[in-house]
Amino acid sequence: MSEPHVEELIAFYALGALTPEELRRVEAHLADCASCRALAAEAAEVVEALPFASTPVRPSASLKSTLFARVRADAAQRPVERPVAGALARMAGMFLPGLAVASLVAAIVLGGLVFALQGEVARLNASLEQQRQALALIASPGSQTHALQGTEVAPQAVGTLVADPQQVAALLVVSGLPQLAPDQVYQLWLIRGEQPTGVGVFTVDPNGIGQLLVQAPSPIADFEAVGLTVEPEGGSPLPTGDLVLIGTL
Amino acid sequence: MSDIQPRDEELVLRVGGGDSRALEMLYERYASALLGLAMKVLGDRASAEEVVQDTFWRVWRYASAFRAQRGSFANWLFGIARNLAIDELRRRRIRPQLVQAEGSPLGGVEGPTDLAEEAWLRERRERILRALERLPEAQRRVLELAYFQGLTRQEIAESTGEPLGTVHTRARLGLNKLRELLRSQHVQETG
Repeated sequence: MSEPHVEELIAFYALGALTPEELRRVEAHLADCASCRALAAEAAEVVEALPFASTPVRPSASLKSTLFARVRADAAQRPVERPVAGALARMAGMFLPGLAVASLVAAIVLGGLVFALQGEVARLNASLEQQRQALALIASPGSQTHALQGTEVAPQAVGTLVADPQQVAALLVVSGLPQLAPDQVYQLWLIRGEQPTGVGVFTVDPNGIGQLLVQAPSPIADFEAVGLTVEPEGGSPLPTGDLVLIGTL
Repeated sequence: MSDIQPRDEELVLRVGGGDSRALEMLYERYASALLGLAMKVLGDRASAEEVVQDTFWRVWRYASAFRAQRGSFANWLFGIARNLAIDELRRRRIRPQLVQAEGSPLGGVEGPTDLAEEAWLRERRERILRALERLPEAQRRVLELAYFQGLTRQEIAESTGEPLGTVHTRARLGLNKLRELLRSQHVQETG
């Protein structure tokens, strides 16, 4: 069967009914094609109305009690929220206990991240949100840390990927990476067999530190390795530039 | 939604800060609609309740991942629940098991409807149901199989016995027509 044009797939993309291979193909195409992005946005607008078509059903009382018992137990273990003014102290305070059970590499990298953020209070709110998500991952009982090593292109670079193998979310924290030209980005790849899947792009700060929150297309356990390459702005469908960090999962 | 009730976006921000009471308010607002969606997809109540519980747990853990500029909280929430339900459905297709089906994808699921449903949720439901009713049956069926059953286009072609090209056309025309219907309703209601 010949491959259909990507335009044919957009309705199914919006409906969330593509195979993983088709999904990758469409996403790679959408990154480059503004007219298909517009079509996809229009389709998504309609699809958003569909869940409301179902008839509401009252949940059982035990559903709510089970859920909120779990939530309250979790809340009791969380630090109390304080105003943004205390955010740096909070970030440091929140990260360190979690990292005692994670890895020393992550502690050093994230410690560096906190240091690098000092004096950038304006950026703090946005960063803080990312940190909260990062923390959720780090604090998750199922999370594991994986070390990434710099290649000969960037021997001083290190990275840590924090992920629960059963989940799709992951956090990458890197340090020691070279600054890139303005039209370049670092792109993270999750690799299964010979097949790399691009899962996000980012740049590093002047200290060579960066982080990326990843939503993988399937649970992290599906992948065997992880790599970071230098790519043109916006990222590439497949790796094209220098490999700077590599690790196994 | 009543003006005196906190907005979803405010509540989800509070949930991100660890406020379980805010999560409870979101639960009261959406749990029935989410269970309705999960039952429509899965057909059985026990699995559907698990999806609802998992959805709110994820909201609790990942509230700070929500970005208001990318769409409403309701879309985010229903998106999580739909994905969890479809994942479960696909696992079942790989490892079939006996499930007591209580509904069909096309007929919806009957449930107790004496709910103090939020007025705006009811309006949204009535609007999409009116639009779906006016859609040609074959187009509606393709959209429902894809969205509520998570069938790929190839699977839809196999299950309906139609050529793939016809399935593509029906999905595209169905979404276009649905958009027109929803927009014209909106114009009638506001104009």
